[in-house]
Amino acid sequence: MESLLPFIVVGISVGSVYALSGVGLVVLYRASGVVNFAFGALGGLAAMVCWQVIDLEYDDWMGWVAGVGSATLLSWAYGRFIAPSLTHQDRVVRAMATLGFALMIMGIAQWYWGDDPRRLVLPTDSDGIEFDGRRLISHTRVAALLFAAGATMGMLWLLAKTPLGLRMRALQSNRVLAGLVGVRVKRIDTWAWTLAGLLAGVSGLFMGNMVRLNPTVLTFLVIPAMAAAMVGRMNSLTATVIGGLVIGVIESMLNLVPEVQRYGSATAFVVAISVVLWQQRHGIGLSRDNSHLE
Amino acid sequence: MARKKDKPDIPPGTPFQRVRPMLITFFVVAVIGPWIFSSYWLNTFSTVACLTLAAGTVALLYGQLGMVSLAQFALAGVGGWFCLRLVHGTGMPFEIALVLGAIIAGLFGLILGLPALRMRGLYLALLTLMIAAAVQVVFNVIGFPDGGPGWVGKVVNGQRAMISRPLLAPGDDDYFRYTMFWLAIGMGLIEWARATLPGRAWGLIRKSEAAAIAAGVSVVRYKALAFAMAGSLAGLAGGLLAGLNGQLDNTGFPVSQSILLYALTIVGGAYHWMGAVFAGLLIRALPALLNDHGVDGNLSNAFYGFALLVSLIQGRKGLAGQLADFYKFVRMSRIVEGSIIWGVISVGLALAAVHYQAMGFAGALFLSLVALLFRQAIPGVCWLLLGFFGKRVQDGAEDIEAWLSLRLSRVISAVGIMPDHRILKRALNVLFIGCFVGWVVNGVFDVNYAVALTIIWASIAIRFLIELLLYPAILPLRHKLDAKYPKPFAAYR
Repeated sequence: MESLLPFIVVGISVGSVYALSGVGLVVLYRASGVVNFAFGALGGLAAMVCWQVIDLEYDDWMGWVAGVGSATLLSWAYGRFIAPSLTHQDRVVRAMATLGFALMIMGIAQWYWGDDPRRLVLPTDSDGIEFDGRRLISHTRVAALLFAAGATMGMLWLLAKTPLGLRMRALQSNRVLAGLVGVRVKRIDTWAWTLAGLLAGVSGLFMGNMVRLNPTVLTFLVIPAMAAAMVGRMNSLTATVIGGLVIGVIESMLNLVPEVQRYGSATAFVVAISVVLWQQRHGIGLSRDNSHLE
Repeated sequence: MARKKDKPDIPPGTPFQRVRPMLITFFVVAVIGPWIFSSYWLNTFSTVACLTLAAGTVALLYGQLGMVSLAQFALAGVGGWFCLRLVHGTGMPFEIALVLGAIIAGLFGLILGLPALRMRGLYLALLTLMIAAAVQVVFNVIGFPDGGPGWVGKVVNGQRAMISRPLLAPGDDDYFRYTMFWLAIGMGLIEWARATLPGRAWGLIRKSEAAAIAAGVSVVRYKALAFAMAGSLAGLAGGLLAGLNGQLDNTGFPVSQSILLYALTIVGGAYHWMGAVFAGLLIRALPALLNDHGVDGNLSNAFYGFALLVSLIQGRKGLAGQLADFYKFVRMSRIVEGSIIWGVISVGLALAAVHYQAMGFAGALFLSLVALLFRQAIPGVCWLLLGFFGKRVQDGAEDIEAWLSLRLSRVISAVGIMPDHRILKRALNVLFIGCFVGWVVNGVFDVNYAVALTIIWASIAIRFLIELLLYPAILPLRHKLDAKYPKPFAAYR
């Protein structure tokens, strides 16, 4: 057990970023019924903008604000101006439209910044928690874990206790009826998009720091995040966080088994596929499968 | 209650009549292609043909059953893998390995489709996305067979062996025709199925599974059929890709390509075989063209994203649907007239081009055809893009253009010439098509930009002149043809 501990700790810290992204995906899906393929691209943009601002020798905090702000702004713009023209379409089409948005952001970011090797340095990188005299996890990873926990708590509180959350749950239940009783559908949708953009920006900064600072790589990190969200059936925030953490831990533990070590990056997908198939056998489908009411 | 005007899902005509135009097109392209294109572009178009087949399978699942499979390109990888493995392992002829690889990929597709029997829409899309991502990791680790030892057949350190081209098609132009042959078979199968019993069953299942069951249609069987067909044809495409280069790259089947394939199939149009062709061209030929012009390929991704958004917002017929709609109402007389005039103009211009040694005969013929054929369709695409900003913007632009055109035509008529009342729109169309087609041709054929522009604009100008001068002579002929064939061309297919 003693020798497993470092792997578990590393796994949890990696998984927490998946969990953070997964929470962003679930919140948007619950409120507006859109699976956001652009989540990773928005995060990638945030990381690149942040790097750019810091590279121009502004203060670090300006970079963070600019990065997260740009992701939030773009997400808001999509939710405000583009998403409304798709609300009458079914959910597959709405999800695929965000794929178009993702390709646009990714293409432009990749064209502007290119493939040069870069590093996004956060001040929390320089110190960390030590095991047996080796520095195992940096404070950045601890911060990611705290952010994931904080975001989950915050979103749970928002959905359960605030008027905005109440209206979001109303939209989740039935958009048409929610509109009839006076919920301002478009405004609540836009709020959900803005929150999702915020989360995308934050998780993008962490991903850019931990994985690789490259728009394309960061864009497709949405897929493991989606795996975490699928464990939670795109519905339960808690299950999503647990899913993300479990994926991270399994991925990290696979390093102990040399035969399958190289397949480690498929963990998220295999976990998601197994969970979905298991859910299917027990007749549990995707949440919001009431599209016939919409 | 059935509405009276409900259009049938399946256009009229016997199955063969429906498949025929596509087969003829592929045949003509296969014959003419090697004459006009260089070896580099032929290989590009062979890849395009493979991708067209893969896109056709995406369109089959999406257009017929409304199911999103984001794993079709991964299945192509599976087909390619087994094809390579069989050729390296047993030394069997390429064709047999190709078919066996396709069958194995079909089995994989069937397994993929099993959960789909109870799953619909978004969840299936996400599940196939996960599968495609997992397949990508597996390919990254085990690689594609290249004559090495063991079950995986991977050379660890050393020369990678390649499979040779099939005996029938050793050269680049032969291989292009070979791919077109398989493409015709694959797409022909899809179109045939759409036109016959499976197509009707799929249409019913898409409308309502309950209705399909009530009507005695076996939902399980026809869904399984669709997935097996889609899987095996995607595998066929993968095998053909393997045969093209003799090997496949470990990173050649990433999940991003599967996603892009889906996106561009929607942009191209999932309800018409032309849509798959557009998808193949967009995914491979356009980046190659941009590369030729020194434009960053990443910008094409941004453009695809934009196009995907536009086509999803605009309704889901894609480019092919737009074109088909456009030509649906073209009268028989106009087609006869157009082809005669095109023949005269293009042969004349091509002879002139050869005489002045500006460019080849076939190239000039092709250019003038494109110029005349698309002189209204391509601005239609611009119009579509304008629609992205909303109907109001579209209408506003139209209004402004009409107002300006009217002023302009009044000025012109004051001089004493009878003007076209949409003179600005026409002029912009001609300007745009010249620049666009010239730009494309400049990349593909290395034709001088000025020469290409001259030929395009000359053919449009000559056509305009012919219409202007011979109008009194043409009009009675047109009326005579219209009296004989009163319906649009599409009705006589």
